[in-house]
Amino acid sequence: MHSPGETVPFLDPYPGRSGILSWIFSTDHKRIGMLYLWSILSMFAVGVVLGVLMRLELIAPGRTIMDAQTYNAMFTLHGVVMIFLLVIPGIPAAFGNILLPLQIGAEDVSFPRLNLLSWWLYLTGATLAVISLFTGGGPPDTGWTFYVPFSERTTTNVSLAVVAVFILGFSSILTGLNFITTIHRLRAPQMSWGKLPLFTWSLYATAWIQLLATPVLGITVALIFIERLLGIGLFDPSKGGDPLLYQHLFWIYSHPAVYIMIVPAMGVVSDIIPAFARKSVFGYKAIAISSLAIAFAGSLVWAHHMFVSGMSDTAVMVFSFLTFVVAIPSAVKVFNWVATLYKGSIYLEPPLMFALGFIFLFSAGGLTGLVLGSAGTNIHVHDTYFVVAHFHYVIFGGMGFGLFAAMHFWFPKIFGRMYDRRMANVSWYLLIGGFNMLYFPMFVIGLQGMPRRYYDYLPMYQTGQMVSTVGSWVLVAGLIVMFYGLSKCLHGPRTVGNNPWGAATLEWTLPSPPPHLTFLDPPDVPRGPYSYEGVSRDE
Amino acid sequence: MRSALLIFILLTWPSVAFPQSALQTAHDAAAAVTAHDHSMAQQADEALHAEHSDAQALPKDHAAGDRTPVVVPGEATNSGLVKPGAMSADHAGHGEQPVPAEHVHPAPVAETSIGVTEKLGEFIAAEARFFDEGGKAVTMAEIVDKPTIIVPVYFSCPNVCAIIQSSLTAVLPDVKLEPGVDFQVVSVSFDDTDTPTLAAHQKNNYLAAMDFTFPENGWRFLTGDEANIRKLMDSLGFGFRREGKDFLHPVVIMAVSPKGKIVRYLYGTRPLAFDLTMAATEAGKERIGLSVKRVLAYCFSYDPEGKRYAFNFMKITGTGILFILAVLLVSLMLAGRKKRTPRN
Repeated sequence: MHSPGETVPFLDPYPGRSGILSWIFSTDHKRIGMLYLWSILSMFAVGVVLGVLMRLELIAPGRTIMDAQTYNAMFTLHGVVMIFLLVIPGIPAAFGNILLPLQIGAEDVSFPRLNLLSWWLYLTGATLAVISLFTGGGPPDTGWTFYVPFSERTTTNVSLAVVAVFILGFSSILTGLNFITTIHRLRAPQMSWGKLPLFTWSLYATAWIQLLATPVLGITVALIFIERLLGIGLFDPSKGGDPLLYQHLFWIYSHPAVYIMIVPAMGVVSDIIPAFARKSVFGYKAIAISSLAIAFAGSLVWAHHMFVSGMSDTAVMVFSFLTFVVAIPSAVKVFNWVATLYKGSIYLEPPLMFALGFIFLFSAGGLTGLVLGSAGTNIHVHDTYFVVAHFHYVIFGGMGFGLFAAMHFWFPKIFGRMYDRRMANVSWYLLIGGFNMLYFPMFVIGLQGMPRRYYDYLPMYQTGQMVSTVGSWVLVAGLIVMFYGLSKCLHGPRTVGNNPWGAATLEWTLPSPPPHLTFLDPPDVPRGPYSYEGVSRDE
Repeated sequence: MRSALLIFILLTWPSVAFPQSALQTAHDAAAAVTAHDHSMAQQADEALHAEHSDAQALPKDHAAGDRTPVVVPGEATNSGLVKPGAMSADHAGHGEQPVPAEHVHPAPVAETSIGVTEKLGEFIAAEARFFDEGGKAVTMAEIVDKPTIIVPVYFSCPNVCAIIQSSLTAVLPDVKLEPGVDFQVVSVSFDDTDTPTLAAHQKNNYLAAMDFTFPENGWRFLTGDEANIRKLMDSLGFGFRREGKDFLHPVVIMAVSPKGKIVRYLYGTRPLAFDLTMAATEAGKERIGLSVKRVLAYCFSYDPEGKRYAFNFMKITGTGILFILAVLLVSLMLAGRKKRTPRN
């Protein structure tokens, strides 16, 4: 006899428990994942608004809608919100929480209460970050990197912002710890390492980076806080400190952090492409190992952010070389995805569209990354819009489109309803068009010498800046269409079957939405995650 | 096993996130700095503040394309303090420019004045008396009879003064003016214990570095007594102070017109030949130029202690984190998969 927990969908109240408390104090990984998803999307909205306002300011030289100090605060907060509140926790904390235990046939994560704590830490950090906007000496104006010695001296509210980042770091560490333990210990008996879905592999690699690198971030921002409070002088050159030390510490975390951002998105794409090509993934082991290789090599390249900061030439050459090494596992993935599509029975659905968008934009971002990673060319484009464009191609084009792909892939599973696919396709065109219009001109004006983070610019950059601003409007239109199309699936009867896309990983064997309690008995895992023989679409 | 693992991790974790040793080293480093360096820290603080306050002026000369990487330690300081959004106040093309937003920083402790107070358009102390490298007494009015680059240094300086003068030997031959006729360089010692003999020795050294192609009257080396040094340096806005055998002082050179008017400040240890040419040309026309603010490097005593502490700090943190992670990985591998008891 089945208990209600095994039949009632997790979105519906468990008998006898309902209301908001059954969500915010739930230890169910699926509900915590949903909490993360809503929090992250709210923060995404904040970040987008800040970004669009900045672009609007830059549509013409000189003052347009805000003064310089406001602009400084805007780009700082856009960075802090997007990086620490959206991109880093985005896919692992939201989709990872919901899907990881389902993909490996576990009841839940290893430490459900710790999991809940990490969401609460996230919420606390996010709240503090927002409070730092309105209290103290005004919003922080240092840029999201909090570079010393300016961050030690500015009277703006940097102290509170770094406390927020510190707390968010712990949220990230706990999630990573939880995932590693879960993957090691809670796999279903037949779920060998070789049968792990690639999304789970990517979460595993990511979790190690979170565990390895995030403590350094915690220490670094804690030191800024102490410096501001007590003036110890670790980083302050006027007290014998070393600003370069700060940059090292900061980037030891923050470069691996971009792999925390991108690797889970790669995992999403690795799960989507074979499902829509109806073909086993090409090079399963290579993709799985390349995730680990990125995690490992990505931890050794941080100083390529500092080529012009005054390091020794030897250090510059070593870090430049290591940066090129990271390109190898990334390229392995891209080639394997393309090879998976080759001779596949492709059916083009929104998740695949977004996955293809990911491949295109990520490749553009990755290749321009080599321009930056090469010490010689780096000197010329350092701190220009070229960097801004590269970064957004990798992170927004990569992680952002990975997130959108994940939403379009798994929303039917989570909500039991299909979204408006036509609107999803329309939004895809708007997003891709707007995205390239917004960021591609930045490559051009960056090469022409437009420095990043400047409030104002020479008239020669105006065309590029204007095209870019107009692109931001198209992009926002795309976002609105996409979220409207998705939100329509939040209502109406649940009609979607277990497996609308005909995917072969374990979560698709469950009802949509999954019940409160899943896999109370460990499932059989008769086949690999990408063998589609006998798996049919069940819309 | 699961809870044991959790407890183990929670117990060990704080020691990674807040390594005692790391805080201790930070504390030691701070103590070390404050103990023998307190006053210097204060002045430097002030000097840096001075730098920031006129960082607003930076972009005037800082064309958008000019991002020459400078590998002088001071650069990090500099770029950190330049407010990113506040840009050029006068680049051509459009009129109404944003006034950099008001942004108050803590007022410096005004105890001493190490640093530069720019006195553009004012006149140097013409009556200040010095000795030239031949031991002859001269006034500044007699010396400054043509566009002059004044280089305040002290001859026994262990680092930046030697660096700036050496870089002048490399740069001066590229200045597109006739030395000794269209312009001259005057190194003035602010150490009252420096003697004309030492000055002559210095002059010989630096001219030798240029293979004696630079005319002797093109680069003068002056020494003087404390009162006259103060008089001149105050008129130049050059704040310095003796600290034991050495001095705390900013690194800057000035261009002065034939009438003794200060027309330009050039910061950093390696001025560009172009800037020197411009400065001397403007000085010839009595026109005040803009301050070239490439790098404001301060003369700090190198603190190998601090460096070592910092390095230890990184090593301890890194080793701690890696050790904990290795323990975690090994214990997970040993623990294997969790045994699930079948229901019913």
